[in-house]
Amino acid sequence: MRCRICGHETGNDTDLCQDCVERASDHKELSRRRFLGWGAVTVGGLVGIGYLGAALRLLYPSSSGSAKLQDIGPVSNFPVGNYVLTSYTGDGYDDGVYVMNQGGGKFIALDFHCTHLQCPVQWFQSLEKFMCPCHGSQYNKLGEHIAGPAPRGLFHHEIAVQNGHVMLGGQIS
Amino acid sequence: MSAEKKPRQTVLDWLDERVGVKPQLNELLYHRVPRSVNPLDFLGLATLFVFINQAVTGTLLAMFYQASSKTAYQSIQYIMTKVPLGWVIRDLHYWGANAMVVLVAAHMLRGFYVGAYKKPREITWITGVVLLFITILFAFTGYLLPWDQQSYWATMVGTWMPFYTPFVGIYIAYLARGGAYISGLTLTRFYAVHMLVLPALLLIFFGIHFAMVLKNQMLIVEEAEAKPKGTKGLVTFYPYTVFQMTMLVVVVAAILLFLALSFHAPLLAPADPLNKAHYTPVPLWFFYSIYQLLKYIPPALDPLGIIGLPLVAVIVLVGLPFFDKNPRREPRRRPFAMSAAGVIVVAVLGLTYLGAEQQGVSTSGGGTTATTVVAKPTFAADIEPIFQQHCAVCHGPTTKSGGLDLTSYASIASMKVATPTNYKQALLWQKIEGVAQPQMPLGGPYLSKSTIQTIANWIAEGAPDN
Repeated sequence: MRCRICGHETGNDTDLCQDCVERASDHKELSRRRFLGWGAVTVGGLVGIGYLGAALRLLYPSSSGSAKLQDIGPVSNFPVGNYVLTSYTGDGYDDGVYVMNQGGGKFIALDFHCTHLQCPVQWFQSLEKFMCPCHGSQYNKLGEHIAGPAPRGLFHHEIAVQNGHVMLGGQIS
Repeated sequence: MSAEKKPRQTVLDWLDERVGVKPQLNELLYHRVPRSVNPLDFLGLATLFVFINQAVTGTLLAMFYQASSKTAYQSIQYIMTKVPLGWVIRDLHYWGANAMVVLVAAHMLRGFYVGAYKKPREITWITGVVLLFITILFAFTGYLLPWDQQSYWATMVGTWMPFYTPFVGIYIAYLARGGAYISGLTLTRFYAVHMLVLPALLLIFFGIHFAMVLKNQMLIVEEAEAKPKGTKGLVTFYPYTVFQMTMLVVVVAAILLFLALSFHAPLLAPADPLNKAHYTPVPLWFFYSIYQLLKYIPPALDPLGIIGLPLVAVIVLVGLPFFDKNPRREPRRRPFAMSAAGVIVVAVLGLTYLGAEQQGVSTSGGGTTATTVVAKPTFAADIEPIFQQHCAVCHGPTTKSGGLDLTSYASIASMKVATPTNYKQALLWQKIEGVAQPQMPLGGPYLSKSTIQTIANWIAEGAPDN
């Protein structure tokens, strides 16, 4: 039979000679075969990436740090110099926050999750320390890391006083 | 001619004309196998059966369970108290989950021991490793669903572990949680993964795993088939092995039922994000080894223990067929592989045991609930376990709260907290009794009266190192 590309005798009953098959699969030449093969892979891959990207966008939470301030009660509820455990309602979750009136209208708000593995830390007024029950990390009165395996201090929350009320915001750092 | 056939044969012939797997089926049913088989070679089948148990009980549970942070806990209570047999189904699912982890690990060790990961069974091994991780993810995602204190805080800790991955850690943690912390959003995504994603992945990888077992045969079958027909001790797969397999399924089912009826799945207080009752988080039991290891390594190496070690484990397990070039399968001819695996298995089991002891799971003495007073306590048997369980987290060699390390006799002696022999004057007694404030263990739960008396007796004896 004759080759349908070059017209030479193929030597068997197929209509493509060995030379033309090889030339077609050569990298330098984009044959119809290679075009269709790679086309299928590319289009399929793009569809897959589309689904994956959409899934990630859907599943990745929106930033929580810039949430609006929440009223956690009048200033008189917070005695100067001692921490009170309050709650900040984030996007679907409740987050424990230790809030202290530092006096002179100044407040400090510390997230109560240990920065090591997020166990809940407890404030001990007599020791002036936060201590974690899981691996023994400790933080001082300002939430700075002083002992144990935690990699850093406690996270801070935004906090402000407006019209005599303490306003608690999202986690900042 | 066809009129002479039995109806059953007619149906089978009709089917085979369309499906056409008769020769393969005959080969499968009547291939030669040894008459007596090591029960350990049935561990894969046992795992498969327990998975079927999980699928059936899980489907039943899903018909009553309500996945939201407001209703999940109540629906579990409802299943346990109101649904007929609901508690049995939940306990079967709970014990099935634990059994899956144990059986998959045992199945893998057996495969390692007989060298079943070597050519041509590499793909069987690798898909098996993937199935191990799918099993662990099943357990991890399922653990959150009851939405009690234990599941909430274990998931809080578990989803923070990826935080230690360089660069992308925080993103993985937030992606797993669906927010900055555990919430109803975490619950629904864990439920979807547990119910839809993981079953689909498991079926795909199990399909490949099982097809590879059929294609390459099990080692014992390969050896049996190599022997001439009629060799003594060889039988056909059907009905001999099939009968043995049925017996095994009966035994596994009986064990599961016994566990379900005797030891009930726990349900603690409902999840409290503010943890007002000061619950101390406890890891899942198969994370005890990592949990315990973290206590021994310096904090600076935590990322290595949390991310590095599991990553190395994945690489070693997946790559095993390619790292181990030794063509021999007999355990005696693989001294290096066998001893390396032995060391790893002993280390993991040992750390798991120590971790369990620390959790008070199997501790012999000194729990908060201990009700017997030891009259003449010894340091090693009675006192040290109390310190290890209740004091070591804060008063350990690295944490040293208040400059105090209560984990070794030498440091306790040098601190002079357990003297004089009039125990009421010893700082240790005053602290655990609450005479000196703050009472220890800090924040509670405090030691039981009998545990305190045991320590008092030890101090009265002169706090000996015995």
